[in-house]
Amino acid sequence: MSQPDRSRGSELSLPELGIALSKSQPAPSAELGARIRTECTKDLQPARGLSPLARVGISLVAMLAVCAFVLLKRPSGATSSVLLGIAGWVVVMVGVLLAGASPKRLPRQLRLAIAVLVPVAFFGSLALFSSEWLPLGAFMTEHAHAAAGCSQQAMLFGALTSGIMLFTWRGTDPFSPALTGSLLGLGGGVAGALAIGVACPSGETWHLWLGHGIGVVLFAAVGSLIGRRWLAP
Amino acid sequence: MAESVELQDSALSDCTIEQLMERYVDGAELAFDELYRRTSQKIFGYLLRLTRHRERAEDLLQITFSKIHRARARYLRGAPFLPWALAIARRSFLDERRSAKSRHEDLSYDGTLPEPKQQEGGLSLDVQDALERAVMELPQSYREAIELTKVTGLSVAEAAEVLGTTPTAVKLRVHRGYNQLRAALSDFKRDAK
Repeated sequence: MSQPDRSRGSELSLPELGIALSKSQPAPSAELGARIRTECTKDLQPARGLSPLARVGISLVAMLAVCAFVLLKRPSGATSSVLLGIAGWVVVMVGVLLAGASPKRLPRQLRLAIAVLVPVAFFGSLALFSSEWLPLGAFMTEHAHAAAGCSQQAMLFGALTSGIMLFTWRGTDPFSPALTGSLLGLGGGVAGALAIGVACPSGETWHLWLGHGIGVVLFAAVGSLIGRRWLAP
Repeated sequence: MAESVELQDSALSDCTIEQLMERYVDGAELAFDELYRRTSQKIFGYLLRLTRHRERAEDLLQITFSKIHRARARYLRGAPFLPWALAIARRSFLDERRSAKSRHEDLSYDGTLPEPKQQEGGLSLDVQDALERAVMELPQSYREAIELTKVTGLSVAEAAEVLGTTPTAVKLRVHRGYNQLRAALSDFKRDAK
């Protein structure tokens, strides 16, 4: 390891810079080391946690169980096209889950893009599948009450799913817990929206956006806040 | 079981950091000792540059290892240990800073700006000392990028993961930080003449 050339103070190269800084790297005190050792080795037992695969499995079961529960209770009016759309979104949900929580982490920009684009695409698909459109004023005076009821149920299912997923993945991501939390919340929010989508016969655009879709955005945001605390070790 | 753990401990010096962590997860105390010996200085150096305060850095080092201990069951076997540990250290620092906003990192406990560290007899002519002080003057993002890549020895991709940014951004921060260091050391050289 060569010494930096002290006669050329302004000419340090990058490797020299690293060497020079490393040489001045201070060590923690021995007393602190002893304290840490005591804390970290007291009654040390083998630690067994859930594997990443098990966590993915639990999250998938939570998402699919919510959809399946409502699917079984669905009114007879649910059409095959709606079910097909739901099946498509289940595939997207699995993708979001894997992007958010898989140990083989996707690049941060891609995960960020997913967190933004999936809600946009979900709202777009709701608009695409809607069969009726009312002016916002008319909707607020006549149909807002029904949308509020759907919204409550979507929130309930979404909270259940997101909660299970965030709890399952707690303490696993020190790198970007807020983003991971957002993606897990997004997955739960979509599950809640799909669940209510099966049960609700309404096809009005504002109803779908505000009653069914708003939970997707909300849970992505709440997931980010909770993830920051829960998902970081 | 205990015997096999002891047998494994005999070859700890040949283990990688990741293997040491795996043995620690399996309950081998000696593996923790070796793991601490190999990594604590790097983590402490990183925390010291973040906090610019030895006592706070020591507190955070203890918090970091405490968190590593509690989260050891969730460590992904085989995954690079140092970026994982540094990310925990960084998050501990951010949490601590958030919870003590009034105690800004540039202020000492009595709320005054700390005097720049100088050697006895005025400004040191030692390049390394000047470099150290110039690094402390850098914006935190540049300082962290240089610390992680040039001192701790992480790859650009690993540093980007710890910092929650892109590899390109890390390269840019290192480059800009390096340019600032060169300028700072150039000034120092002129002052010293």
